Amino acid sequence: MSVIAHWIEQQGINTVVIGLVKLHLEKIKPPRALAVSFEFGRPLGGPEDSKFQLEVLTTALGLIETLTEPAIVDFEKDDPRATPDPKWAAPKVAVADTIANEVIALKPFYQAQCVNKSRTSVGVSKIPIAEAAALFDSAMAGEKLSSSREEISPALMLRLAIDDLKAYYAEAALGKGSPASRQVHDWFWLESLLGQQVRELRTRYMKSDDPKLANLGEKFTVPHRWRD
Amino acid sequence: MPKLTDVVATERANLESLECPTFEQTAFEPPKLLTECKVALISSAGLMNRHDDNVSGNAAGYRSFPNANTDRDLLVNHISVNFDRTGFAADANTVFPRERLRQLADDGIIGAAAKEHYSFLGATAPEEMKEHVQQLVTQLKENNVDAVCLLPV
Repeated sequence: MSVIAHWIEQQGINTVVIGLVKLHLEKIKPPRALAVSFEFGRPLGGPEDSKFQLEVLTTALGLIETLTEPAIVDFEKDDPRATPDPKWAAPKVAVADTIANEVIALKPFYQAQCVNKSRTSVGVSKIPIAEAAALFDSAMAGEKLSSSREEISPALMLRLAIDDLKAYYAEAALGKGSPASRQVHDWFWLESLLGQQVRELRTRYMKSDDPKLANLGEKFTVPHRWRD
Repeated sequence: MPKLTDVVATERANLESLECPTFEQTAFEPPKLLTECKVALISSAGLMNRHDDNVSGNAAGYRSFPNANTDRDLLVNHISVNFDRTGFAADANTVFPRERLRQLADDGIIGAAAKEHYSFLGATAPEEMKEHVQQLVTQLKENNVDAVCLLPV
């Protein structure tokens, strides 16, 4: 984004980057940047905190009005939503033996969150969540992967299905309180069956002779923090 | 940047070793009054609308998202698994703050929100995006955009 900022500013439009990696800002030196100390994926800080989001956005845009030469300015505050919520509780569901069953058990929590928010971030696979769960169970069983979308390879279909399942689980977990992301991630990767099986599948695929599966496993399933 | 203690060693090594383009000179437009600026947002999150095609894993182009739309059908289709998506799941403004920008316009802090905002796939090498950025600049100028806020994830 800092490179794009250079190119846009060269064409006469003022830019400001809200940067999460100060090291990269210092290397690329965009025209104006606000360096924030938030988690990756959260350039404005935590969700559902419009006051804080407005403060970050206003501070960044303010640099367009105040800076007279290129600069990287630190945003001094931490994200208040990074603090764990002691009232939050993970969804309590019976231990499941398949992802299909775990998805069914989590459905009331997911649906409540969808109603509450009037939106869902599930949908990139463009298949029903039950089909995504079945696809994952099939992969875990070692069956040959398939794709119900002609234009999408089986490996890519599995990646998109996993992305949707992760989003579904996240939304199921968000309903009870205002958890820090780390609380949701800890529950997902350490306690849910899906989290544990995604890690297992990664290890298995990394040993695969199929380069697409090896690549999928290595790079596109488990974040650095949760890799074995 | 997230505190280094919060970033695991393998990820930190990747961040530290990433080759970054450098510029001999930094273009710099004179300051502008925000109250006179029409502002657009650009995200690196590989955003897509629910009913559109997926963002390919090496996409160099950008997609447009009307300022007036709700976040109901906004999805993250980035290939990286190394950033939090629970924030976006709870509130799309965490990544793509159209609603917050509209508030700033309504409150008179900025002149106006642009009629379109944009998203690239941040994992693509910047050089591959260059011609698309040129197209985007043309579009920004056609829409009389004065300032852009870029939001990497």
